[in-house]
Amino acid sequence: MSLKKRFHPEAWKKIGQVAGDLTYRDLLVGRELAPDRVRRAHRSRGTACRARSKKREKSQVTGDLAYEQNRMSVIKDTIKGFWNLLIGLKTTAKYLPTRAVTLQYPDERWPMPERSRGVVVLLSDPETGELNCNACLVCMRQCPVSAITVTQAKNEKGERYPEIFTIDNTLCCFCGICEEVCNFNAIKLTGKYEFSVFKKEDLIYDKARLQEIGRDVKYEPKKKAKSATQTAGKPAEGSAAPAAEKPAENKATTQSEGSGEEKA
Amino acid sequence: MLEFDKLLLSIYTALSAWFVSNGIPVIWLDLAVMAFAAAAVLGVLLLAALFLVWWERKISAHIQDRLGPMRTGPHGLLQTLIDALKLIQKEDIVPASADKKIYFWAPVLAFVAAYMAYIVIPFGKGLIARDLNVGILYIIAITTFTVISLLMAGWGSNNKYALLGGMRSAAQVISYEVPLTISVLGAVMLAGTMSMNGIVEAQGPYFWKWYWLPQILGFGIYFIAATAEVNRTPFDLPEAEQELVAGFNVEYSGMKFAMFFLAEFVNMFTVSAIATTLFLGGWQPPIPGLVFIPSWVWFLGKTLFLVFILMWFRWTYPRLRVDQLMGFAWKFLLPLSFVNLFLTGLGVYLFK
Repeated sequence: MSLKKRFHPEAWKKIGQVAGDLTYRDLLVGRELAPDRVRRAHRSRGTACRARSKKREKSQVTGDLAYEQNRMSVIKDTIKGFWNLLIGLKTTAKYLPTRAVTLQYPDERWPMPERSRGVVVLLSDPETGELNCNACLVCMRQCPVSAITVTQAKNEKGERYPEIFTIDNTLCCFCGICEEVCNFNAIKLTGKYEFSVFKKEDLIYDKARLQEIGRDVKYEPKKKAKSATQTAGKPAEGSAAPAAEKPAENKATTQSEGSGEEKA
Repeated sequence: MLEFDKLLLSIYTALSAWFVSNGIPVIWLDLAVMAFAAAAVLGVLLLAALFLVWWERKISAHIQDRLGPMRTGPHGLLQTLIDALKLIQKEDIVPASADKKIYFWAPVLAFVAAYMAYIVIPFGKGLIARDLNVGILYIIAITTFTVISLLMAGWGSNNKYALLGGMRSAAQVISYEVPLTISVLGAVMLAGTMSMNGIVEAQGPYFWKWYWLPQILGFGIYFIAATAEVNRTPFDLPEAEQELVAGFNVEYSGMKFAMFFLAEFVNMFTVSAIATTLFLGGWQPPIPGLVFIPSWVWFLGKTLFLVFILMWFRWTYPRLRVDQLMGFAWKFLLPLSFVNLFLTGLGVYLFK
């Protein structure tokens, strides 16, 4: 309850005779008995404060009406408070019939976004069933944690192929760099994230396993780096759009991309 | 007809005839009946506590947009059972400097006090363990036992925080007992009897004649005071998990803690049952046409509805500070309950 409403109007009249137009704060520190110049000096406060005190003076209801309002507001406040309690109940109740947001994990799963980075697989040609990988060793060199191990060999037709291709999933951090730098659509990160095992050795995937889990993975053939314009366009496409890229440069790269797309 | 009263009566008459024909004094049969009634009430109580704990977890979960227990049993129904088993096999740690006797008997007393109130609650037509003719007075006397157990728990733990929690809890319970008792008196005055069955039957078979309508203020006061009696939010500062580390039962582990925990839920059921009996017509159907549904179903339904409202309160309202709590009891509820008593007395005098 504000100080204004706490006293009877008669009492305020008495205070008013002594204190004039002081605010309740002044009364609290006993300024009603200070000489006039001290009061005026204390009065020079900031703009906002002055505005507030002016507003307070205007809005203060004086006289018997304030006392009467004080009496009735107990009942009014009670009823308003009770009504607010009921509003609170309604607010909580409306969540009861709504569906919970919980996903019950082993029985339900969130569908993974299209380009999620999960376990790494080796992709094979859909027709021949052979690995796309030609052991260029770029992914091995670019892997930041050296999780990939590749050795090269030549097969009967004289083509280079990876003799050993191992990914150590205890090291792999699923960054996706190997997929980004591969020019041959040979390696990809799928959305699979559930591959816990009981022995650490089972987490080191060899070539056969990588090919096997990659068999059902659909992939879109990336643009093969064949012509000069396309190699100019490809780094720009593969890079992570540096912040300070000029609009002219952007237009140039998009143009080369467009031509690259036509050729591929 | 799933009413049990006639069935039980016929069993009793048959058995007493058999006893008399064989020369055994009937007193043994009466004792056996009493033991059976006590066991039945205990069974109901434990089942109620089991169900209520599960229900509380589900209701609170759904209000918070989550699911609650789902895996132990269908929709988590066996969760409370498993929790009880888990608590039983926990190590019972007793503080070295605790007052052994008081520490031991506090949870026992809490549970026993909660249990004793069930003797006079009419679960259905004729389903009352003992229809004392001072039923409601007996219940008010029993709820005072809980205060002793709180103080014992706080003191016996030899822990100043437990003591503070226990004393605050005891202060809260005894403060709210006064408006509770006075608001109950209103219903008793309308019914003219203190026997629980008598109050139920005096309310008549129509739901607009039950005492919640003429005693709407009393019902409100009773319900708020009852929420404070069982230490439920918004009055659960003595056992708030966020404020005090569990309050008076901080030093209790294992089965003793389970006793306090169960006693709280049993108390919740008790105060709802009393409210049903006094204000909502007990085991009677809202209109006489629905009497084919057994009376204990009606009783359970009404009681569980009130328990649901208690749980609803818990997840809607913020907690009251302990001084706000006490101020509310003494400065608001008590005068209001006196007003209710006065108006009820006036009404009874003018209209009867």
